[in-house]
Amino acid sequence: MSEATPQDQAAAWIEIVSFAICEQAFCLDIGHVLEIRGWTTTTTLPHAPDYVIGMMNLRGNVLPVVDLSMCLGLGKTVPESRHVIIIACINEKTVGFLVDAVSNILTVNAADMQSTPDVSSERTAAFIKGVYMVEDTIVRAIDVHQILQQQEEVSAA
Amino acid sequence: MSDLREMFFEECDDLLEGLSTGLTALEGDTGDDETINSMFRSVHSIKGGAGAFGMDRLIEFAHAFENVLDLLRSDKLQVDGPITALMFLATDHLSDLVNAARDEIDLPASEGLSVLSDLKLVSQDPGAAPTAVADAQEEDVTGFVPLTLDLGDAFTELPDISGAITECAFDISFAAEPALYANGHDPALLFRTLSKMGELSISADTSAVKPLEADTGELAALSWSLHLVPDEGVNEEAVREVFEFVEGLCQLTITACSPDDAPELSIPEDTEAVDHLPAGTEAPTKAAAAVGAKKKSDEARNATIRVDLKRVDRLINLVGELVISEAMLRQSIDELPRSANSAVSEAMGQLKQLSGSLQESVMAIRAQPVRSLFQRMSRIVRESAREAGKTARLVMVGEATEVDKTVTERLVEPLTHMIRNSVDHGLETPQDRIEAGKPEQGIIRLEAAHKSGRVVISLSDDGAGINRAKVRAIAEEKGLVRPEEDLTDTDIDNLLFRPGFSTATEVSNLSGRGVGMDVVRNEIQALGGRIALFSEQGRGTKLTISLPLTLAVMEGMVVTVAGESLVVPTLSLRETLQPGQADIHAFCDEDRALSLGGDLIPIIDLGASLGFRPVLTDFSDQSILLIEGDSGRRTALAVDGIIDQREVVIKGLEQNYQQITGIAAATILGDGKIALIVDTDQVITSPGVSMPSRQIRPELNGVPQHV
Repeated sequence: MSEATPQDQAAAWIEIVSFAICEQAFCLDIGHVLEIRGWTTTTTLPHAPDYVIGMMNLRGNVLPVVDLSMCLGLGKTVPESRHVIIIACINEKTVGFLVDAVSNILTVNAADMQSTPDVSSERTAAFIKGVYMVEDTIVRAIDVHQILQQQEEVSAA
Repeated sequence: MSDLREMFFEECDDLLEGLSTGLTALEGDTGDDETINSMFRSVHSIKGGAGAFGMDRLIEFAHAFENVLDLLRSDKLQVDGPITALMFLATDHLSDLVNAARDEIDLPASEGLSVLSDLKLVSQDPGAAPTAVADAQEEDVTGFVPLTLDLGDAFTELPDISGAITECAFDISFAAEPALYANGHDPALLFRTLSKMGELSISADTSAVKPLEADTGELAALSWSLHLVPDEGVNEEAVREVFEFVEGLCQLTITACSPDDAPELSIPEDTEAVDHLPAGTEAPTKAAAAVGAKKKSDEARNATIRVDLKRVDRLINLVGELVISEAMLRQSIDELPRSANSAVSEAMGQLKQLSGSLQESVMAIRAQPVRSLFQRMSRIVRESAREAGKTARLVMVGEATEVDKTVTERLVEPLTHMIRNSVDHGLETPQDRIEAGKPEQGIIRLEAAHKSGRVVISLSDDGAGINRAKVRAIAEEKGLVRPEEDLTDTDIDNLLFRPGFSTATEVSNLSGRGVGMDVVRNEIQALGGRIALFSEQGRGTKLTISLPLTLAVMEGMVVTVAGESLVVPTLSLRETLQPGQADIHAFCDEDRALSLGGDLIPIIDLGASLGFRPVLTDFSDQSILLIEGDSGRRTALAVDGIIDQREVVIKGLEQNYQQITGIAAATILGDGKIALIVDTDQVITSPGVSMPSRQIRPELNGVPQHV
């Protein structure tokens, strides 16, 4: 690593948004995050998979809100005003992720991402692409592409 | 490089459109020198662009075409029937070549060969063409002979020598554009003013006026030649001033001449034409005049800009938002105590008006005249007539009618199909027409007009009309109707829209009337439109399409179902009812039907079919929306309540999510909540959706499936 130029090192630093779901810490790359909003009511969609809560109005854009907790197998969230929606842009689609609370914006080194432990279930393996150790906590990095893909597969079925 | 290429092809579209406009004008005898000049420039520009990209075949063809047009504009060849026909063919082929170049495909080498050789033949030897007039004046020093096409040049301007020629007379040629009349000007008033300036003689040219029965409603067929011997002190400037307010609304030429002289030769506006001039004494003045004239005529044209559609869409979305925010604001102000808000509500009224007209103006950006669409259709008429061995003429009315760009684009296919049908099956053979006492040439009429917030496009032919006995016989044969069924004429006509219907004996390589008409109808309905058919035995058939002005807004009924607000498009909505319990009949476990005027209409519980709740057993508290589907099938949609009817801004679901069965799109209501727009056809026809008990998700509300 001693040969690495300063540019290389700079490029390795990424910013992540960390948030909590059921007292577990998760994060996603800040590049995906457009904004963070408080919970607003959504419009129920017919024939939608159970983790798609409904459609929300973001200044005239109509976008789906996904219950990340449901996606990750942590149970259905009953949304209240304390809940938070992270508006993310993935593959030109805008999606809202419902989470318990947003914790922090952290700068981590991309090289510091550790692989998900082997104990992982199929679902963990699919949606968690790795973990960061931030001080004493484990922050699970969510693979947003997988989540979006699952949404597409389920709804196409 | 690819950007440049794209730009070239976009430009080609405009140029080709200009070319056909010119041709149509020539055919209708309303063209003038400038028409041919601009046609020449169009072909020349295409050739130039093709040269830059090395499209050899296109260059060769454009070059041959250009040569013929050059002969026309220098009057070495005269416009007549065969030449016009040749130019139509050439334009069609040119557009084929452009399209082939755009799609990077090779047209078969044989295609267009005969057109090319005709063009070459005509240009090599104008005398050889059957009616071309050999021009003996080729060496004429002026190089300018007035074209027999006539009518004045636009804005020919002579150098300012007005001071010296107050003694002169003026020859004025004046042809009004339709806009002149539309703006409330009256040529008679202009002439009256002129008559006060001296001795005025007027002659009107009525040659372009069509017979009453063929009148297309165009008002601008008249042109006038005026000769003014002015009183002392009246100079050219004063004469020009009379026409100041109609500048740009007419074709005007004012030529000064000495009272006894013949009028001066008219001056073609194209500067390129000046190149032909030998360096004579007159040349510089004429060149200057021509340049001035060109500049002016350019100014008269509407200035336009090209804008990326995405930017316009963004603007439209933002304005949609503004309108919704305005509605939200109004709603909350209405809820305030009454005393506090008279000034506020006045300001609200203004805001509403402003946002309304802002929305209208923004929508107008996407609007474009249907002209280009119609002109494409004139080609379809020519080609299908040729294939079917008939003669047909396309009459276009209301080409200036503006429709959303998306709508015009998506109309190409259905209109093409309809026109082929009209030519192939609507019109009789020339023989039959003569026997029926009609002119040999059939007339296909394509009209566009705005009617109460919608665009109505109608296509009519003066053919034999629908042979209803035959249609009925075929429908019976195909089992679409029972022999004992009592059908009105309209019912029979509508059989043509039924899927699978085909007047099999009439099917040709073009298309049969009926073949694919169901597809045409589906496409029109996908645009939020309706299509209707009228036919009169022996007189012809007329298809009328009614479309929304834009795809961004539609009219809907806001209803509530299981606590959700939904919008049902009013397009297919026929009636709303509050049923008494007695009108509803149960069938087995959960099916219900409504009896109405002797018919039993199935009831679909909208809430259940969308999976919002288990199916209802008691419909007495429900409101019923009577829906008529694609095939004329009626269905009763049960909803909890009807809120109101309003225009809604359509928001697609596909962009961030995907299509949902039974849902067409979404919209945002005045309170900022999203309401889903119901796709009534899918709700009615999709079996998966209309059988709610097997679809419903038990976890919803935690209630059992059957109550």
